[in-house]
Amino acid sequence: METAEFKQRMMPYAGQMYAVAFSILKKPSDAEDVVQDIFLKMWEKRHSMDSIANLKAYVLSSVRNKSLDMLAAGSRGNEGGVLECSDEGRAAEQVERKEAATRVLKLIAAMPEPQRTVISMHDVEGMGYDEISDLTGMSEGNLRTLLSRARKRIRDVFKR
Amino acid sequence: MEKLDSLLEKFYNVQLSVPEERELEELLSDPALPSEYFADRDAVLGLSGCGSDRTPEVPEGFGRRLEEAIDSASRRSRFRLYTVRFMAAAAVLIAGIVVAAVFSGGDDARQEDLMAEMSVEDAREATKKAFDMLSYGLGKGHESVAIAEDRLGKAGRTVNEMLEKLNNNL
Repeated sequence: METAEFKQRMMPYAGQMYAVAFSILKKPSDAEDVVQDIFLKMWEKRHSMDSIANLKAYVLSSVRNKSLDMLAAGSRGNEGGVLECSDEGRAAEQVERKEAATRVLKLIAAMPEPQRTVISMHDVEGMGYDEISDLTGMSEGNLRTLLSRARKRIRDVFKR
Repeated sequence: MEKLDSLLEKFYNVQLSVPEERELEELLSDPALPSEYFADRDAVLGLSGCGSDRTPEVPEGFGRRLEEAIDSASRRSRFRLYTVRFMAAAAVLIAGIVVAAVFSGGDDARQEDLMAEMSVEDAREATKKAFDMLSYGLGKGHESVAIAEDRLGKAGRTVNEMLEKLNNNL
């Protein structure tokens, strides 16, 4: 596969890949590194790309897993990022929510599949059931069950 | 608190509507929230916080940097390919030179001497002997195949007879 063809096939997904990585890692530089890493991995596999049934699902899944793994490994924390606020009250609330989000993301990163993928796609990335169903092949009922279990799991950890 | 419990149950069963989600977050953000709900607050608001950056602005130059990374990887791939091809070609060339050097020279001289001593009749006789040996070998091979076919046929007939006997007994 030539470079031009590879770019034509992969670049349309770059924006969404970045959005997935950023929603998990919360740092632009980390998100960009993950996307670039996946792009380079796909370049190495370019000759077998035609055998991938759903390229979009494949690359988004790769980005998601890489981002969650980075978070779980704690290689780069989520302490960075700009906190915008209008007053102290909102600032405190935002800090608390940010800390809770960090803890939740790390819990999600440590979850078993397919709960990890489903809760990440729905609650973190904001995908609808139809889109998740298209990408994973799972029914809406199945997705809701997995999501319910994942949310309860998070609550149980916080209750300890 | 009944309302809160009801909304929480819906949240964990993935049955909340969007307006209900907002209502739940407001209730859980209340500073007077009883401590027994702190775990639920952290879970719900934590998940809500995770989703706060769903449409981030792509950094400036992101696409260009990605394309540059691919171009760089492409150049490295081509360099590797050319290097491998060059080394393979060099190896073949060297091997050819070595073989030519080892197996040429003296043999040509010896062969020329032999050919000079042999008459036309001797050469014709030697060729006929070579062809006779070849046809003998081929014939032997054919004979072996014919023997194997015969034995296989006999085995097949024996198996068929046994099957017939079994069928008759049943």
